[in-house]
Amino acid sequence: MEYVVFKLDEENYTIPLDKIKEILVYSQVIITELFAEDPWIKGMINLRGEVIPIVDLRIRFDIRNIEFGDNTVIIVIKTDENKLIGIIVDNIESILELDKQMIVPAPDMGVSIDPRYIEGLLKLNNETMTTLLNIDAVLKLEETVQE
Amino acid sequence: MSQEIRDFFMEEAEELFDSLNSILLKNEEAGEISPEEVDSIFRDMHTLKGGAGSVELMKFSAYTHHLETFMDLVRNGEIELNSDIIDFIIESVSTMHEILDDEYAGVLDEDEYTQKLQQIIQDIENIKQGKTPGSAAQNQQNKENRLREKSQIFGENAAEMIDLFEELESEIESVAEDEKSPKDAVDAIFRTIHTIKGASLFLNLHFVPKYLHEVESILDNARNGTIPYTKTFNEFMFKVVDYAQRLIDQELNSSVDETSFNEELDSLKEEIGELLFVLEDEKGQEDSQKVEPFALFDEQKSEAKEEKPVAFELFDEKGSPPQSAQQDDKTVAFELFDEKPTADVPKEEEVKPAPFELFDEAASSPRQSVKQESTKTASANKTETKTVKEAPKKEKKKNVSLNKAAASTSIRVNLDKIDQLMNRVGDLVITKSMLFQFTESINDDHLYKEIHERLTDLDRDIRELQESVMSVRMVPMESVYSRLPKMVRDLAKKLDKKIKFEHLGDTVEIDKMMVEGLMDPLTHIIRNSLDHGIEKPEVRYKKGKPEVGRLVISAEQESGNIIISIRDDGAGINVDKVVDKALQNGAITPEELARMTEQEKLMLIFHPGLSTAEALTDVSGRGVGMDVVMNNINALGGHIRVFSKKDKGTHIQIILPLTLAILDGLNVLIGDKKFILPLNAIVESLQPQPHMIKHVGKNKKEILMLRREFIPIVRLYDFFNIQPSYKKLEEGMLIVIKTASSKVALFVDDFLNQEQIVVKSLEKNYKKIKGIGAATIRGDGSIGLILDVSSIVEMYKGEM
Repeated sequence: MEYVVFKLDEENYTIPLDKIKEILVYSQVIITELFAEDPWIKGMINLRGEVIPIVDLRIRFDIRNIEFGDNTVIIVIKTDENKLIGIIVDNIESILELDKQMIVPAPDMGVSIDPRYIEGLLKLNNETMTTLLNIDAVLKLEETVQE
Repeated sequence: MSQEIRDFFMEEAEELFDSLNSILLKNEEAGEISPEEVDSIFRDMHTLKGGAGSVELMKFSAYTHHLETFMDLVRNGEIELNSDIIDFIIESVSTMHEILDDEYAGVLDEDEYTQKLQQIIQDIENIKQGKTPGSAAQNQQNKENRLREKSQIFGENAAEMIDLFEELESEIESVAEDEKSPKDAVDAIFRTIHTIKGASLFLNLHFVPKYLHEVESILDNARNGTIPYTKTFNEFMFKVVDYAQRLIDQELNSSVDETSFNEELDSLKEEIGELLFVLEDEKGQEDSQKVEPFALFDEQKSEAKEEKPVAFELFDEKGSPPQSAQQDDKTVAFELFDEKPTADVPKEEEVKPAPFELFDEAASSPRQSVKQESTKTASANKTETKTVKEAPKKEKKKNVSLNKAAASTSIRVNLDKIDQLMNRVGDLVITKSMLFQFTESINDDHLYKEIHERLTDLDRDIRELQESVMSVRMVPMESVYSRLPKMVRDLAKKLDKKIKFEHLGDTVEIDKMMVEGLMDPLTHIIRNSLDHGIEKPEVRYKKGKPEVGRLVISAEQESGNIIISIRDDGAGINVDKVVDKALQNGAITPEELARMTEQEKLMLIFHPGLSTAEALTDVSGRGVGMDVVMNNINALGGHIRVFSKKDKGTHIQIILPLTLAILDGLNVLIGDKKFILPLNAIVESLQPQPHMIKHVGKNKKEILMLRREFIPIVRLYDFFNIQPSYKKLEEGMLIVIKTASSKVALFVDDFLNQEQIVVKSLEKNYKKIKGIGAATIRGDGSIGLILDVSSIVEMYKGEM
């Protein structure tokens, strides 16, 4: 199975390639801000006639030093509810072919983000670890609505 | 078995069920069904059975068979109808429907089915033993209604049939042109012929199915490989199909007579024999020329008239004349029916049976005598007779034909295709506004003017295109109503109530996309009305009301909206109870209550926290959440109003926009952000003077006093948390908007241009956003946000 590794601040995260619909360059899209919504919802963009929301993963994961650069991209994800949602990430690192068996369960402690969002850990070729995200859980919008 | 054919059957079945139910329900009370209608029921069942058989829905087919047999007994007068029996038929038809749905979905429970099957056999047996033969009475009114329904079905089926014939011809053509191997084609040809046979049965044609049946049998042999499907065979098929098509036209004009048809049928059989002989001989000679499939036309003689009555009678018996024609004696169709060829038609000539010219001659005496006999039929018939008598020699009557019937009706188009078309038009609208925006950057005045002029033309054309496409999506309210009578009836029975259900405005058109979303709320409302609104007969009697409750649903179009009203004459909503309940639940505070108008109190029934079962009446029921109704209607861009009087009844109004797809919006500015306000919500806009602003209540709420009306002010920048350009009301603009229950004035910095926008759902990829109803794509490709007026008002009220 193929995976995409992307960078958020100092961390590497991984998602399965088949969840990705397309990748947009951040500086080339116009984001219309929404108001009175959760701060990690950046706004809405027009993707060839479709109105899709953009999630800033750094805010979602409580990473505070946010800079948008030339490498900043929007990865458009197709969720298990068939919604298209864009996530802003710093950089796409690589695309890898990895065996599913290489996934090891994440430890309960020592991870910076909500364990529900984590599918497991993956060891990359250069011995670094990357967090395999359960991107559908990350993008469950209703669940996070504060009543 | 291709899924497509199955789906096709299911669609047809749905229509047949509607037709069955409408006849049955209409006659339920009277306890009798006119012979014509019994015929029609029988026929519908027969078509269902046959159709189901051909798409391998055998269980359903078997069940239907029993009911069909039963209807045959009714038809022959061996079973006399009464309300109980009609009731039995209605229930059985319901069961049929269930079985069909289950079998189609592949979830039919075998045991349950067997039980149902035994049940119906038992029931029929019981009825047979308990009843004596007799005859049903005629009912002119019912007949006319039925004819009206039939005429529509007739048109639709005729259209289908034309399609089928085209399909058939192209199949045969493809064999002739060597495009397709005969082996592949024969299956398709067989299937299509079979479908046409079914459809012609449905149209109540008599000769056509007989003819096609013969053709089918030989094709079946070819299909099995018993005989080869050669070019000679194919050649033969050309003629057969050609003839069948004309036979249909002929029969629709009722100008087929039995004797000559039988001769024709014999000659067909002979021809088949010859064909077989030829095929066996493997000579492959092209001598199917010997066939004279057109011979029939030569046999039209006046003596035939006696056995085959004029068109009107024929249709009255079995019925499907276009109804419009019946009422307008100038309408061509019926004159045509009456014009029958006499001996003038040349004999022994291979006439191209041109149905358009053949029947110019008015009938001679035998026909008129038939006419006199037929005076018991519809009065329109009499008028017609007169017209014909007055102008018997009118030249060049056009004849009714399949093509004619179809021209007035429709084609089936997949909804997805219309959606696509709609989206394309939407894109066009966006591109257009991009172009308009672009022209603003043209500095050359002359060029600017030139381009702008042409763009204005384009704009107009696009608008027209848009309207045309929109109109394709519109369907009559009938399609919403069609399932309601059955539901009301079943529910009334269950609840032991007597209800007279009426629906008005059947022809009012509504966006097809809305029909789906409307069904649920309507069902809820009607259920509530029956359950909690309309009282039981004995209670009604005590109240001095007629025992039979009335439930009326109506639809009308009014200034860009569709208004659907559901009225009952039941107990009404007990406002005090609703209010008590709301207070108990903490849905409202006593202070809020003090400020509420009667209308607002009634609207509390839509509050999520209230169980309608307790709140509305003492009768505890299923307690359908009316908040769901409200949500559904809001999702359609509509709103609801409620009126109610104790013991007089309840009136619920659903106000919907004509369409969901496009709206006129006004751009408003808050700080540097633009929002779109739907134009139809705007009452007026103004720059307020200081004396117009009042502060009321303990938290000094701002109120706009406009011509003695007090309108609360909502500062939109507060609502969305945006830094505005102006904070003083006098510096910005107030836009007065209205929703179902109230008016508010929205405070914005300024308003800009007005534009037509294509509405895009936010919920498709995201979720509901408070205060924002939907999005659109602006000229520069960015997203524009459309304000959701009613949710802003609701939220504002919540803050108070």
